[in-house]
Amino acid sequence: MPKERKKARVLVMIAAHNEEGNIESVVDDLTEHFPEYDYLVINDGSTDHTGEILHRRHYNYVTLPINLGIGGAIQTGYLYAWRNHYDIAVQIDGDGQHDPKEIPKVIQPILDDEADYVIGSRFVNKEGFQSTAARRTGIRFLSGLIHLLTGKKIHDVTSGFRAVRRQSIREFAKRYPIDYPEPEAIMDAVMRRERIKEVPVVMRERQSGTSSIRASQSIYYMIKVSLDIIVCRISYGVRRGKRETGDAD
Amino acid sequence: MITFETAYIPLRLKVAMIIAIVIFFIVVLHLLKQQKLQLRYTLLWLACGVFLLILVLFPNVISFLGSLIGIQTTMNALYIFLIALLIILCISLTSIVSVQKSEIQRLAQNAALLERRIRNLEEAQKKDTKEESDQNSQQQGEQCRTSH
Repeated sequence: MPKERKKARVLVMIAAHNEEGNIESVVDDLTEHFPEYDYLVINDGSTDHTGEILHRRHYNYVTLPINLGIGGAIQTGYLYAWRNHYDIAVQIDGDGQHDPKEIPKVIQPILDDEADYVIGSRFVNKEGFQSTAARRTGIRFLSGLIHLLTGKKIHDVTSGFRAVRRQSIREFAKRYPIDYPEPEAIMDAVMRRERIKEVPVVMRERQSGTSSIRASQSIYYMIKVSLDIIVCRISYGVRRGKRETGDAD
Repeated sequence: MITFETAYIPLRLKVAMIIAIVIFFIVVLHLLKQQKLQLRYTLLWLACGVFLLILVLFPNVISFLGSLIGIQTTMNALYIFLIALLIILCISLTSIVSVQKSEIQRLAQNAALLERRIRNLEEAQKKDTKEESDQNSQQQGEQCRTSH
């Protein structure tokens, strides 16, 4: 038998909180199209029937005894990915917004060694579900803030569709932002001098259940995330300023 | 009708307070940077710092708020506001601690249930290997008897 080139081990991490309506279709969709990818469902203290569904269908899952929020849940995924020696970790949402068929797109730049941190973005080609106008304004503001603080322009800063490389897995397993982590995780990656790439993906609208961020909380969310991002930037040292040499932009 | 005196903070005190508040912000930022503080719990502290800064820089605010609750002097008003802020911070801390207590309780219960499952697994495993080795020695015994 000829010796095969070692293939990258991929873990798809699916964080789910009260997703009884969506979780089956998400996992089935994934395993049907990409049986070669390993996956892990992180049941973030769901109070509905999500846990029972995961158990009944014999999915690969962990159940958190308390609700940690998306940050804690995804970090659990990174812990698992690190301890089980995965080469690439992919985050997708448990609500069905992320189409598993798009996963190869976000993995490819890592396989080609072009990037360390890949974001599946709704706004590069502007196809598919574009979210509400209010949210888009907020996203644009956060994108501008990150651009101001790092010089790196990312369009879809709140997208949960991400792929990271082994070194990132280790860093995120050690430290991952807690509340509303998506923009701050980008900041961490940028400050660690990782190569960040945005690839266009098509997202779907959430199929059932409710989003975890309600409109009334939006202002509080914006202030808090902005502060989080600023403090994160400061925590990497005031002197650094713009990134130094050695980036492949 | 209790009228508030025109709010006046002596210059020396004003400078001292501003320096103190700036040091406070530096310390909080430093702790945040070292991750000894989490931002979601620190927001209230930062808000208090900002509020105090406003009071020191704009004494009219002190007059206004003071007259609302019937205080006459600037310093008394400052003390009362500081105490009120401390009480709010304490209540917030108590709330955080309460939530953590119930989380810890849930973790303890979870650990207890896990321990039972592991224990049952271990006993089942021990039983299996014991049955196996019992069977083996039984077979050996039979072999011994048949060969003689």
